[in-house]
Amino acid sequence: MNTAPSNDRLVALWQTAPPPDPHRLIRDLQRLQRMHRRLIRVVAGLLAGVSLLLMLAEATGRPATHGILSAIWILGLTIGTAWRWRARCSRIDEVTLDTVNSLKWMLGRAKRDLLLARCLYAGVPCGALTGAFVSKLPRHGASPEAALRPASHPILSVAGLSVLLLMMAAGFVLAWSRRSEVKRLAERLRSAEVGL
Amino acid sequence: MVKLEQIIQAHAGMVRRIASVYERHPDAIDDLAQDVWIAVWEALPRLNDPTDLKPYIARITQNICVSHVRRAIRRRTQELHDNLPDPGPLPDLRTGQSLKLARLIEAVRNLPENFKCVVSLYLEEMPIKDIAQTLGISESNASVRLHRAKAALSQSLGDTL
Repeated sequence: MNTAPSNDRLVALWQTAPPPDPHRLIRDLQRLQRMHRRLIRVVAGLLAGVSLLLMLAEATGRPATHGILSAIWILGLTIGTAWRWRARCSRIDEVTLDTVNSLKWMLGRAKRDLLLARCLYAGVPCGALTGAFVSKLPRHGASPEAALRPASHPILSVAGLSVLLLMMAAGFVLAWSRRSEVKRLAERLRSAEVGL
Repeated sequence: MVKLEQIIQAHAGMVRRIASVYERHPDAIDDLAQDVWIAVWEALPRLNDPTDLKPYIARITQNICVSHVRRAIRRRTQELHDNLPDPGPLPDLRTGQSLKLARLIEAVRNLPENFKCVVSLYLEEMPIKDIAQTLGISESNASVRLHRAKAALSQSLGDTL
């Protein structure tokens, strides 16, 4: 067990595996790098263009938003950039941690996703029921405009119900996939941690 | 700073060998290796000590291989086609050394997950200390697993080698 690995005939045999063609791999990676850079440039150009147009439009005083629109746009861009940077860092952490910690990290993320999915399929109908109950209460009922248009009630109800069902279905599908992922990751973690 | 091309030249073989333990089909192995190199490319600026490169890449490879759960699930739901290529080596390569190597790879693939990860790193000539660090387990744990994995390999390979 403590002998130098190179003395082992299994290791010697393992090392005889034909090496892959690194040139093809490098070509593929360079192509991906180029595509990635081009995409980043295009997105950055588009965002900068829209920002510039917004600022120019507001500087000339055409929209009467007093710079609020530009401020919101730039704030959104900043939050988006920070979010992207954070996601990239966490993705790197995921692969550079040791296997056990990496599995723990992934398991934690899968559990968070599962909780969100459960909130989606259980929280949405609860929220809808609460909303319906509150709307029946005096002083919290339908607006006078809605009361004047009773014909629009069935359409709104059907649309609301469809959205509700859609959200619940999305929650169920997400929860199903995350539940199986949590199960698999937990098994792998148990196997990696104990395994003796 | 070391260029990615040089790193690929030096370690492409190792990445592919480790990936071949977790995947059977050559295209899937290529995909897995490509995922590893993309992750290495992204993580490289954060590497402080360039001499640490081999265990670092082995760790990334190991993690990517262990964690490709989602893709494996997706692939399982794909339809099977009649013209799927034979995932094994070509018939003319199934001779002598190649045959032994194919049997070794198959034997490592068939090991339990906790043995497989230790053996795949050991076969890449990594010392026990690095294997333990890569997997996040103690050195004694890694040693015991390796010992048992080697016993299992000997049993499954028999007199083949």
